[in-house]
Amino acid sequence: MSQDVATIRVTRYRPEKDSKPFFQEYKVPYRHDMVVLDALNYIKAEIDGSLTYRWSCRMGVCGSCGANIDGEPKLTCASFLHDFKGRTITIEPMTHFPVIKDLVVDMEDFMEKLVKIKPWIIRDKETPPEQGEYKQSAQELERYSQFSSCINCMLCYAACPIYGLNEKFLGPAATALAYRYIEDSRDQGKDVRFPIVHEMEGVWECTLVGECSVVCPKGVDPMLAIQKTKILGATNALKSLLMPRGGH
Amino acid sequence: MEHHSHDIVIVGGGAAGLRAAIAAVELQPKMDVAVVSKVYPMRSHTVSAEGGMAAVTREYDSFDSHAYDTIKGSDFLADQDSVEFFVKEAPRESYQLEHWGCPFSRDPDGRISSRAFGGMSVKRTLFATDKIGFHLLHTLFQTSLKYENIHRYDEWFVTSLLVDKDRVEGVTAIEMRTGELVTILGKAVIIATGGCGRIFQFTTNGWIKTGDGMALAYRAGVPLKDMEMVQYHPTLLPNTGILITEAARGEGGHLLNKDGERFLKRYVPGKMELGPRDILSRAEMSEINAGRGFDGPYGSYVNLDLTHLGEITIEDKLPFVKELAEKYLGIDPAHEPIPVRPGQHYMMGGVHTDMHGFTGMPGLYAAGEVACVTMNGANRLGSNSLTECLVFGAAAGRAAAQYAMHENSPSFGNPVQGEAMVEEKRIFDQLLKNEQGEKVSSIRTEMQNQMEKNVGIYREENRLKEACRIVGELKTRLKNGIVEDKDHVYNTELVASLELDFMLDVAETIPYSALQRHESRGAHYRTDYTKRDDANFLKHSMAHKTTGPPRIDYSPVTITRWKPEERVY
Amino acid sequence: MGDAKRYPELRRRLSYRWWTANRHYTMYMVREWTSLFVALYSLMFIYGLSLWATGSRADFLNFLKNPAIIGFSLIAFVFTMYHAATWFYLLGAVVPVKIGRSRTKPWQALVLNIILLIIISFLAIWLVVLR
Repeated sequence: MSQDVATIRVTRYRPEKDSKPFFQEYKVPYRHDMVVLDALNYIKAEIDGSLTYRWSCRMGVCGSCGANIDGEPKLTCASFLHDFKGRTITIEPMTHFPVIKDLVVDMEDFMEKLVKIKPWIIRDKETPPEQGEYKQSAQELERYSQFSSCINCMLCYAACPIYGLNEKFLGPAATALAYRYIEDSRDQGKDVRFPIVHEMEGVWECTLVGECSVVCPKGVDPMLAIQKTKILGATNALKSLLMPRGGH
Repeated sequence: MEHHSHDIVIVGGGAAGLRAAIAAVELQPKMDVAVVSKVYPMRSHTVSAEGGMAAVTREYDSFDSHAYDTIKGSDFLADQDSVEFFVKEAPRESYQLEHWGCPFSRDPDGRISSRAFGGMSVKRTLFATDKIGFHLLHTLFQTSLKYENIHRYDEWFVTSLLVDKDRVEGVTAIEMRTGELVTILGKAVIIATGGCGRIFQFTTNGWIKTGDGMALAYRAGVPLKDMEMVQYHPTLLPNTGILITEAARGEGGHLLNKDGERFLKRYVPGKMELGPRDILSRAEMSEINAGRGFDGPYGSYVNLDLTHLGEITIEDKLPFVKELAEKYLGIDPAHEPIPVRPGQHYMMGGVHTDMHGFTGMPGLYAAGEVACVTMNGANRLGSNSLTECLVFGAAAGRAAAQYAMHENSPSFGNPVQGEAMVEEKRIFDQLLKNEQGEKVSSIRTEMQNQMEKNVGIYREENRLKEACRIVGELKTRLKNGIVEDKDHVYNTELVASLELDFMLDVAETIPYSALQRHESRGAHYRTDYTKRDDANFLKHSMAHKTTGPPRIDYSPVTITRWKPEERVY
Repeated sequence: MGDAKRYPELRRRLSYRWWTANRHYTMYMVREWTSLFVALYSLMFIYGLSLWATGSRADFLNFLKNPAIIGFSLIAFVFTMYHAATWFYLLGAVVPVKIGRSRTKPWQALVLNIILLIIISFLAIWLVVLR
């Protein structure tokens, strides 16, 4: 197979040695079917064992390997080197996140937001599993299924300037997951989740940049989830205004 | 040294570990549980499972049928009492997962859909398109967030078990963020770290599948059972090893050779594409060896043809297959066949446990792929493993909680503290300080190539002996391995070195166990002993750690109602 | 977990030129800026109406005939159209209509909405002015 050589420029930041990040350049021979992650693995195995990044499944589902590639947040396991032929490929840690080392970012903020939206089924009354499944129609499933496909890769946060300007913003993935539970016919936790997603730093912070949905590698469309949450919240508020005594 | 203390310490945050954590706090809400994982739990390799999870949920199905299929699939090496327990618990666990929110695909009447799977005699594999592992893992993880008594140690790498007079009292772990070695004490420890596929060069397994838990238990004195039983899955993408789910065949896909022939008619005429994985993988190799495979840049392959299923079925039932084929091969499976070849997928063998996950060492439990209960015997049926993680994860969680309720908390004194100090010295004063020697990555590559070459689908005495010898040599060479990255913070190279150390211990048990099994059974195929030999080998191999090579002895197989018979499909 | 010593994380500030990083960001910023023109146009129009209310219709028309005001109105018109188009597009993205197995594309919503806008505008003009 034909081999080309890619020039890879990677952000290095080693907190024990460096006060500032810098770029380091590597030359990587590659075949047509190699992805950026393969190049990083080549560098780590053959050139520089200290290059640090996360990865695992190399098939676009574990969500570990996000990075900014030529400025765009992408999964390194799903970005082919040949798409950058003839150019230097710049790989940086995902924007907006604090960097722990090289390409490894701190995602504790998201982990906290995830807990905040209560990403579990809330029911008034549980039925024991022995009695079988909660029935759900294909249409009911479709109302939330795309939003349940979020792999928590954080690309949407890296793409969101609103999050970049205000890290308190609940953000795309967490809202998509909140909406996933709100729309699940088995869930009865709307009243618990609505105040959370509609608070000051919740969905109303979103001013529709739309880049979250552009970069999502799983077609989740978090922007859609945020706007639908706004619509649900607005209609709910209107309803309680018009019919103060119940009427849900 | 910093230390933490909990009632139960769970190592691993995949399906089995998270299920165990939830089971423990559901049994005893005050139970203080720690989940220690080297990755954020939603990165665990459970995420990559695609096809589905088996459970009896239909009127046309029965526990006996599921049990028999599993036992026959195991080539009668499964312990039948464990299998019976498994099939009975499976529906409850599946419905529980559904109640927790798993977005299962649905039938028109609103019930969970089920599909056909290899070696299963009826449709009993519940699914969520072709991403059940992803959905199962995220459902469990998100549900686990509900429990305040489940404490997570995300990105902590466990390096050793702390043992006091044969009783487990906790673990030592590196907090990757700081690079410090920390002790986490527990009355009970549950190992749920998954398999060790990364021992092999060509595997479906993610980077993190390095057999850590197997090595932890093995080093602490627990035997590894049936390690020669390695599952090779028949449909991997030839260049990357990315898995194309068995559900592609469950939905009606065909395996074709170079002549466009459904060659399985010569091997499993009764089941064709729905035959068990061991037989299908060998059938593919036979076709390739007979010159009926296609030649490609990554060796020979056969075709998995889905073109007759139509775009709608593929989009609705196999969207991930479509995504993977399009992204990584640039082909649309509705119009072109997918090239596939067999490769390592799963370890039937693992840490010896009973059906409650108990390893025999007080306080130590194991569940999931890392464990060998054994319900998979010599060959696991597709879609049994996710259910296995739930059933035996829950069982181990409950058993550990019962045990922990009646035990005193270990204190951070000797001998445990001393062991932890020795561990700290070993890692940071010796391993990390090594200035000259061989790169860890080159030793790893040699191990992977060696296992691929000599401990693959076809095995034979001389080649197994060579593998034993070379893996032994690699262990010696790793003692002089160097870690170039000398930093403490997030040192992935240091972790990779410790992982390789684990992998070599585990890898060694495979050829040694295989060498002594003079028969062919399930996934273990010896070209020099091609028949199954129930008179001498209807028994589990047990590999024990010694100062030299592993010592192999045997334990009996539990037979309840299904007498071993010839395995034909 | 863990209180052991931590080395500093690298915190990066969002550059003030962030909106030039890609086309989508730029389009977003332009859209946000157009609202300024919409607001200015509204102020101007309210001022014009106040002239009419306190004075005569001729004051109002004279005000509108000022070349600067005409120029500004044209610019505001272009920006308003841009603003409307981006919102119509987003509307299509947010609430796609499902037809059979496929969903409508955002540009279809854009085209449909513009056609509707033109029809409604002409209806309004016909009702108010021409009839």
